[in-house]
Amino acid sequence: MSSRIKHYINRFEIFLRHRTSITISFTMVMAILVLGFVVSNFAPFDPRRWNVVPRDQPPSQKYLLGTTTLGQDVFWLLTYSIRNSIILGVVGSVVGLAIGGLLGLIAGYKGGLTEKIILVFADTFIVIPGLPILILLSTMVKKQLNMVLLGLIIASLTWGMPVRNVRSMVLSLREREFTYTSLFSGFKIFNVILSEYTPHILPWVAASFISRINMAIGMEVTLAVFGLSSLGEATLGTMIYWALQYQSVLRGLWWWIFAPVGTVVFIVLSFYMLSGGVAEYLNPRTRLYRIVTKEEVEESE
Amino acid sequence: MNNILEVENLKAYYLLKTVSGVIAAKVHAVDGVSLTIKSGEIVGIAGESGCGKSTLAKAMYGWIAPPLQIFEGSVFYDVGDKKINILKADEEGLRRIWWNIVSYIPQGSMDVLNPTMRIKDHFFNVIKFHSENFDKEEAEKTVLKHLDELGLPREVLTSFPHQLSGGMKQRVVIALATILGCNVIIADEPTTALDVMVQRGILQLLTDIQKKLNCSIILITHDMGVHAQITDRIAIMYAGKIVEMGPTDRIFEDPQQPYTKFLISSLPRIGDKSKKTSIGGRPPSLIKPPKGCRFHPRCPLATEICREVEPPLVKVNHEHYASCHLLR
Amino acid sequence: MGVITEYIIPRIITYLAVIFIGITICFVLPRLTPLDPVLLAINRFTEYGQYYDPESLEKMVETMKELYGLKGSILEQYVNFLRRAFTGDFGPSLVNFPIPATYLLSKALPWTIGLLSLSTVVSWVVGNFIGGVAGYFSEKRWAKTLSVFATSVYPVPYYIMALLLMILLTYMIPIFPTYGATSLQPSLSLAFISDYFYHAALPTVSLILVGYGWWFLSIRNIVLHTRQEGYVHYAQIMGLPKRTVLLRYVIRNSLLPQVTGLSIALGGIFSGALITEAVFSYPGVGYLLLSSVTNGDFNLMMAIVTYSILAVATSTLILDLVYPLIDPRIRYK
Repeated sequence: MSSRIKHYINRFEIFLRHRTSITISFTMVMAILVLGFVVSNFAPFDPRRWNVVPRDQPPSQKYLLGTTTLGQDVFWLLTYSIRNSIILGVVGSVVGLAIGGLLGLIAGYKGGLTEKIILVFADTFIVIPGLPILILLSTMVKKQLNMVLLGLIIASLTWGMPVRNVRSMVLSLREREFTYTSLFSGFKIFNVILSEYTPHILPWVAASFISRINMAIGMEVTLAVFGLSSLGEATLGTMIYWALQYQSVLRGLWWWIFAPVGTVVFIVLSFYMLSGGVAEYLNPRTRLYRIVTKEEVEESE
Repeated sequence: MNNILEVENLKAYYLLKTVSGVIAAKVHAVDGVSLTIKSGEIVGIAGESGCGKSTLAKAMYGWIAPPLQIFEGSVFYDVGDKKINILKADEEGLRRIWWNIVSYIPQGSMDVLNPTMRIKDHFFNVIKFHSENFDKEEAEKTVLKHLDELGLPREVLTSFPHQLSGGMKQRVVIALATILGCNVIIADEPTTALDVMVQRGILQLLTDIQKKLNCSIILITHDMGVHAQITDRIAIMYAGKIVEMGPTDRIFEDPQQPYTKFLISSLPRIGDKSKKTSIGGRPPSLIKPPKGCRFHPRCPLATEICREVEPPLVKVNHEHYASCHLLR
Repeated sequence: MGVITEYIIPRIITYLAVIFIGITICFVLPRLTPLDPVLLAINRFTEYGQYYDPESLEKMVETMKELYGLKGSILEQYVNFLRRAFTGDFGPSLVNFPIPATYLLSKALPWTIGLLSLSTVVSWVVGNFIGGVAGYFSEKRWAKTLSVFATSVYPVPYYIMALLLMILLTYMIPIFPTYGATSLQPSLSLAFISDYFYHAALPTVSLILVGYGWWFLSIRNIVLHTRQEGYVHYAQIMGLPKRTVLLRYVIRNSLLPQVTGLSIALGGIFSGALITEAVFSYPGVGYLLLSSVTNGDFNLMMAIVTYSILAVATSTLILDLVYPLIDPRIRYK
């Protein structure tokens, strides 16, 4: 059992060292996740509450990232915000990906009228500009917004692209010879999908999952501008909203606005780098190249 | 007849590098090849996949793109008043030689035409960039005349590549290769992926061109049947080296090298019902080729010396050479 | 004629379906929530302690219902809604009563169109061209540097980019104005034009940067693949000059999927423009949307959302119809 674990750890190490960009971005992503999910638990008070600490303090030893006009500690508020933003990002990403992916699979396999109907609906959601609808939706459910609901709303607007992507992947894979070989040798379609297609779809799924998190976080931040996010909650978007509402820029409270803005930039850059590295690593072609040259080099030594 | 092309001890390897630039592997695709082509003859280069034929073709043409690199040797073309080593030519020299002296028909002609360009524009591009003054009307006349000579329909000119069949595309590529007239055509697998009827037409086209232009053709293919049909001489390649070379009928009637013998005997003949034996094993790795004779791991007649020393190319007959220790 | 039946007609049908579904969503969404906009509006009126007698209150509710299109059964409402959408009547803006919502929209639209077209065209052309060349010469140092730059701007959300630019270049280094599109009266004078560009510079740059990143990276990917195609090698073998190969063989062919990509990305670009306008208080549709949300101007919101869908869907259709003109594989069968 432990040798199995060692084997996976070894493979993971190889993945990390495959490219410097992967090592760096993975570290950055881990830093974010630790901040959001581990460090946030150590907050000495609920960071959302007002007037817990002196107001408008610049960063110091006591208040790492300063404090807000509402008497909140920016650092602890940031950790909560990261956690919430990641949660809604993951929910939005996974749900949209699952729905879109499933519909894309069905469209690719069934073909005919089913495919056409699914495509028309998916195209609608791709073409329609997301922002106005997002705003409409959020205005409607303003009172009951929480992270999961936000994530679901975002998922409901972004499931269109995965449909197209998965469908085109299925269409090309379906025609490949190994599909016929598997089917003719008795595999059921479902097993074919699981065992044969996954290596080809996996890079896209992994990359898409990560980049969709970016997209969801961006959408939440955008909503916050319109005052439509869950303003009582701590998210990166709401932090920015309140910082702007209280004129933090004009009043020179730069730490209040740069903490969330800088964090968003940090997150999107690191997640994007990681998604690129993962996709390239998992790509079946580059994997083969790694195996082949490794073998031949070992032989010639 | 004079030599129009002379290859001397050519060594062309692929250098595979890792991401960080470290050389991971050296593929000895062409490992010491020498041959001469006379004007007006059709020479075939035969061998299994992966023996280095395509690389030899590219090197003979002078198209050396990374990771391919020339390590040794030269390729001389007779340009009339002198001989030029194409491997050392500068951009100007290449422009003079390419398409005027030597043309290239690449492998996989299905995909070599630009999908967003009409066929006539393909021709115009070739003409424009290989001549001093480009006159569209003159060029159009030349192209039409050329197509007529080759028996291609004129409608082809205004078509896009995807509108043409595979065989027609191959003919277009052949027409493109010969539009400026040339002395040598290097054709890499011109008939693969075509059905037999179309193949016949292509081979006929090639022989017609050879007669009209009195040029030489270097025909690279693994299909021995094609070699038998139109080539005057054949060179058999194995693992980056030429193991036998000679007139086509001699090679087919009296192969000397064990590998060649296997190749020839594997071809079906009418009335021959004997069981065919195949050689065991796979073609050797070009990264670490076997010591001595490269064929020795698969050769049933291998002896001690075959495992140690590389056999030289010796003359077996007039114009017929082979490399094997058993020929003494 | 194959292209007409196989390509054009399906596209048009999809377009009509998209508009239909989109508008229906616009109709359905507000009616899904328990919020009653009429009630909200009445609350707002009575907030200040004014007293309305029940009868006039009743009448107000009726009028409100009509203005909001909430009168009658669902089917009646739907038909009404469709009719109004196509005649451009969304009722009066509730904040700027009695100015029709559509009128406000028509005033804001030209600003948005100007901003959007300029930034989209520039970012698409420049991003594709530079990215294409960088992809072809991907080993060179300058290409790698450009790539890193594009990678850093691409994932940044439109809002963040706008915010960053605003903070950096209007507050910290006050070069640009903080809001508006112009301080002068619209005219064709040089003064007005330069003033407009002065105001519109930051929003435009913001949109261009983010867009550039995307086009650069996507065409670089395509070119990395295209430059290995058989026909590119063949062009090199034929001895065609490097410039011809790069432009006519590699980039020209790599642009085809980018045109399709543009039609897919239009929705996102449009949203990005709206949000950028909101940040810079640029008087386009985005800014109008922001104020309609802040003020609860329901009619205006509906008008904006509906017409946004129409605008983007139509632009996408136009782009799709233009595509066969550049891709002979679709045009000629």
